[in-house]
Amino acid sequence: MSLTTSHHACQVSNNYVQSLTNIQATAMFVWNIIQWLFTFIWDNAILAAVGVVDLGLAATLLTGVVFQSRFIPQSYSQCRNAASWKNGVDGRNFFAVFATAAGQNDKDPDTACRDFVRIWILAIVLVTLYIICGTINLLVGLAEKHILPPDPIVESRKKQPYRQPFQPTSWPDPPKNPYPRIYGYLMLYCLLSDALYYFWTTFRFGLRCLRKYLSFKIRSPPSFPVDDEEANAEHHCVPKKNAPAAVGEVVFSNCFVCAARICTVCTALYLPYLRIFSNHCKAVTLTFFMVKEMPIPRLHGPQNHGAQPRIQMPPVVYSVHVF
Amino acid sequence: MPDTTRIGIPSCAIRLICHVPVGLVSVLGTRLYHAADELDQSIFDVIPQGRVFFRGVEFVARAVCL
Repeated sequence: MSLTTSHHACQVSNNYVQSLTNIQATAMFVWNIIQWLFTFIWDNAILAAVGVVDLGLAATLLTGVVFQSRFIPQSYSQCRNAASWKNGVDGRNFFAVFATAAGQNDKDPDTACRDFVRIWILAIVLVTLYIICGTINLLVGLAEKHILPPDPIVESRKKQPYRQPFQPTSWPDPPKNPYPRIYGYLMLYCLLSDALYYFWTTFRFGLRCLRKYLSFKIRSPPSFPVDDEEANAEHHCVPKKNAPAAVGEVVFSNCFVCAARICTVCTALYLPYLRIFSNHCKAVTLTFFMVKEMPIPRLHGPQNHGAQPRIQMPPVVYSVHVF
Repeated sequence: MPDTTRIGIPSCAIRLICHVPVGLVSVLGTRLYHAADELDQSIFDVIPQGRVFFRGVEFVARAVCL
């Protein structure tokens, strides 16, 4: 079991690293990073061009999102019926076929369905953000607005143009630059420091929110070894592949990393990428504000089975709170 | 010295938020597309709107791959 678990974890990490090292897969990420670093110093023309590229990316993503919405379910809750979702004319189910394909680690159809729905939702978020970002860049690039007060040199030239009507030979002296060069460097320093401070505070705020989210909103479903039939019976867990859950029964899934069985109680929304920041086998329940505060139970893997008493989850975990 | 008076800061803030969905769609979306591409392609002929759905997965993957 431990060998299988470690092999499974290594395979997952290898797939992740392989995807990260794929240069093509991170092209848009690199584009986003570069534009994030240099957008605030771009000229108007470049800013408008970047806005056009952003809107083009958003249009492509929007097309993909619309095409995907023709088939996939549009919420996680509908993935509970993934094994029978829009079966083909020959009886085959796409998610079942996809889940048993090579490289999918024999995931169940529900997990495969949730993978597609997750990408679909993220693509919608991305389209929204890129439309806003591209529109701002395009409008600002075309409008030539300035964030600082107008330049006194330019304004004085507007008030007193070089070419006077009826006096073509009178060329006024160009106005002298009232600012020393050090002022320009100070302005650049102030803008950069303000921008960095702004980014840092935003990033720190996001981190703080994430920490609060993880510490208060995350509950662990009860987990126990796969072969613990007593725990299965106690939690009324039934496999979802074989038969649909009856009333009062709870379907189970396996942990992403350790393959321990997890009873998905109530309406649990799994966010696997959150496991980067926390221990695995965590679920984010939709019953955020109604569930009582309770310590997060430890994961009971097969190696600890029998060594420590299993934590009895309070019955409030199994209650369904619907807003 | 570049002109630093342009208003590019709002889009910079939005791009900061974009990093997370862009990274996730880049990695996970591309992986899903390659996995779906390696399937028996006849499955997309039998499921309803299968070809359109596969084209949508391809569009998302191509968008993040440029």
